[in-house]
Amino acid sequence: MKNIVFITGAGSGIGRAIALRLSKANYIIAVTDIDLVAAKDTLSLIEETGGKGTALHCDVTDLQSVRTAVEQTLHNYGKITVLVNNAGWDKMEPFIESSPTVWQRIIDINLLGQIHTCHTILPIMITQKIGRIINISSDSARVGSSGEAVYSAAKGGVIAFSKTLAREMAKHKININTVAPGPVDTPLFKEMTASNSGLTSALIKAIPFKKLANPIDIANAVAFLASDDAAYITGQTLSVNGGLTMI
Amino acid sequence: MTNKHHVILVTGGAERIGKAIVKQLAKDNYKIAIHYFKSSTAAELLKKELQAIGIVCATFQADISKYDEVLMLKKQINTQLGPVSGIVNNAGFAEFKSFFDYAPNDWQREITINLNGIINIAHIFLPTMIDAKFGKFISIIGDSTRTGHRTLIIPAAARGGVIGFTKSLALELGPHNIQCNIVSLGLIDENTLQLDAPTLAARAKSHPAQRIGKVTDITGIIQFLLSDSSEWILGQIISINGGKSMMS
Repeated sequence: MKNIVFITGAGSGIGRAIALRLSKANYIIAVTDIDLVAAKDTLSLIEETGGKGTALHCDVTDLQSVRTAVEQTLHNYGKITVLVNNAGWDKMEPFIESSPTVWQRIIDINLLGQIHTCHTILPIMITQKIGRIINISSDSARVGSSGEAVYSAAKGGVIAFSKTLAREMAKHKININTVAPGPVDTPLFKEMTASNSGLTSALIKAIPFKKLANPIDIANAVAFLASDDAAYITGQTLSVNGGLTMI
Repeated sequence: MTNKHHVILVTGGAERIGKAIVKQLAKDNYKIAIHYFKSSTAAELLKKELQAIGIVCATFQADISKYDEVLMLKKQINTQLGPVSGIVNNAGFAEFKSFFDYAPNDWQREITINLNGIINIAHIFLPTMIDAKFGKFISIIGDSTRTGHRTLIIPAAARGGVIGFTKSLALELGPHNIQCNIVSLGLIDENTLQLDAPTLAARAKSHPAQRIGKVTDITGIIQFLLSDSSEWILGQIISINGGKSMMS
């Protein structure tokens, strides 16, 4: 049977690009998103190109919602070979002006969400004796990002969490790696920078390639880390950022 | 796999990791310039093996620490195969000595091969890639560069220089559609490890992956970094080490 990949936040942006890219690489896709309509739209695009999958509602901040989506995936396919923790959210504002409710939302979606999915899916991968997890972090985790203090904290937590999981899970033949994107041209990025067009042009100027990433640039890196070509890579963080930072 | 490439140059391509990389590139049907320094017999055998299955390749001898020899290397590759569009800087040299076992200036050779060699290759080959507005420049170092290692101290110093050099080069060449990156290796069994069985077992156990690396563990990342799929990856260091170290 083909490999099955469970992707969170696959209804748009980077998540949708990852779903389409992995479908092209012959995976069956569990397209999950808090927005089921968007997830179904992604599934339609997959099916138009001859791919297969299921669209599922999944609110990563709610452990029960994650468990339900995972159970449904197992019911449909019997296994989960790859998990891509892509779901994320941010609100750009100076830290001093930010509020506890926003902090909690950022931490719940970006960090706790990945903890929820990993805790639910890893026992399945352990039984399978095989699995790959790719956690989407952010370059803000590695270098900081003005206006994104708590987001950087959450994404930094993703990196540390991924490394520890990599150490614990390697004996079960499960690889866990992190992709840290730089600025990507997505609906979320547009939403975040809507009131600050100067930021977008400053970023473009700073990137050696002089443009934002396309979602496919991130998807390609995820596809590599999901593949057998990356079998000896675990606990690593790969920045995909057009050279904006080089750590 | 991209078909934009003309020729891929693999330095130190005749044996061990270099040979594994060359053989993988052959499977992907690239034209390959197999560079060697002293391993002429191994290089010729590899060339014949690949030519027998229809791969366009040739062998080239050069001491990469010498600028004039790298100039000659470029002329010879251009004549026999065509312009180089991708480079895998695999050639390296290590004495495996503790620092105070060196006599003064005995460290020069490791520095000139591991650092100057890459600088020479970059200075001579990259202008063609700039004109073509396309290229890939991959340098292989060891994880010991960033963790430290008591008997790899001079190669670590030289390869620390390769890190700074590559990042700076990546900034300069990004606008020309040339991606420069680094692959950093953990302990790889190249059939040259002189370790007894208990030591080998202990080393394997110290890796989360519970084994030391094989030469074929490297080839996937090289393929990826030579391909269009890595167009947005510049100036990065990717460790292939079974989880032995997880830096930054």
